[in-house]
Amino acid sequence: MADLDLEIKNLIIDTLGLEDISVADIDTDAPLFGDGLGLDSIDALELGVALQKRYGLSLSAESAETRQHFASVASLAAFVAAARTK
Amino acid sequence: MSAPHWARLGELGFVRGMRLFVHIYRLFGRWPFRIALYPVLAWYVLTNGVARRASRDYLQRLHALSNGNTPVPTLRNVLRHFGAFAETMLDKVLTWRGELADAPVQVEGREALLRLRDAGRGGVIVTAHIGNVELCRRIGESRRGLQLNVLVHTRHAERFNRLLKEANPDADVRLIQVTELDMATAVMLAERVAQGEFVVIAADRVPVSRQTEVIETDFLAATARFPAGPYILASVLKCPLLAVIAGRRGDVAHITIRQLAERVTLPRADRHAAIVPLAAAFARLLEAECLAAPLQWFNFYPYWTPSCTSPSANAG
Repeated sequence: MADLDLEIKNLIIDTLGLEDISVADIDTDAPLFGDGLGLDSIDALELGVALQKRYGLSLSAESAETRQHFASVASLAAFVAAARTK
Repeated sequence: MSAPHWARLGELGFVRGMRLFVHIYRLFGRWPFRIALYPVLAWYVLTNGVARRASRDYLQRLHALSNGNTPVPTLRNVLRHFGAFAETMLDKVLTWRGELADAPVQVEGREALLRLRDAGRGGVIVTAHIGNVELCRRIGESRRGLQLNVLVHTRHAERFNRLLKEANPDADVRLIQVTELDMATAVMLAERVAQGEFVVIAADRVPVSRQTEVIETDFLAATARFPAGPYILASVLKCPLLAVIAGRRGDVAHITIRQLAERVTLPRADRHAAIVPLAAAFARLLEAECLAAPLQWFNFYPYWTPSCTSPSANAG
């Protein structure tokens, strides 16, 4: 699980080009959007596309569900672990 | 904004009427179609002040920009403008039915699109409500077809889909109804682009949603508002961005294709600033097309930012 956390943190940094942020700066349980890492809705779209590409996830059209998955690195890792097809 | 939004104008109530006129065309041909059409158009133009003033405003601005080389903004030319719109609607329907398969189409800049297609790469295509854009389906047909996914707004799509389905049940273009770009849609579009398909989106109308970001740039010598969404979409999909603008040169349909970016990258710190030059390049293409085919501009609602209204725009 910790490996997957790290992988997702790296993917976030690479996908969004967060040059001044390192893996150590991202708290696994902190919110990704708003107060935490401060990502916005466009970042979320980019992240969704990147996660799909990497792990073959299928994302629900239900946005409330998606929002829960994208709450933090921890929730994303749990989602990826459960739903990945590659 | 007190001016009526284009989405509430119901595409001019034209769609229902067009079904009747398509029948007239099929039974009797183009001239009877025109003869039947003009009284209806005249009535429409006289009773619909918003559309009439929008047409006149557009003709006025274009006339000034072209130093008098485009149609004078008279009521007669406003009528001709709506006539061109109706004829293009007919052509769109005929294109979908495959009935214009042999009509000549000049394509300028085809290589930009074919190069991507032959490399198996997809992209985002921005387009506009000018001319018969349905003809862009014909661009690739010489060898391998282009897979087009056309993003449309629900309010229009349902009525158009009905008309177009009626016209051609086997239409090979996918219409996708999108009002907000959510993650599931973004992922689905990314998969299609990865398979070498193209996503077509109109970039000349600001969407219904109020939160949508808007880009202001020069168009026909005044500030107009363009949507940021198409450029954001291209950045999310990390793919090439092309513009495909339809129009006419005399009696011949014409299509201009330009690559606007090999890959759209919007820096997180200031995405807006990075979109402005792309929207400006698109607006310049629109402007060139309006000058070349003045009556093919089909945005009949107040288009320019109100503070930049030209002095004569109030003349009905």
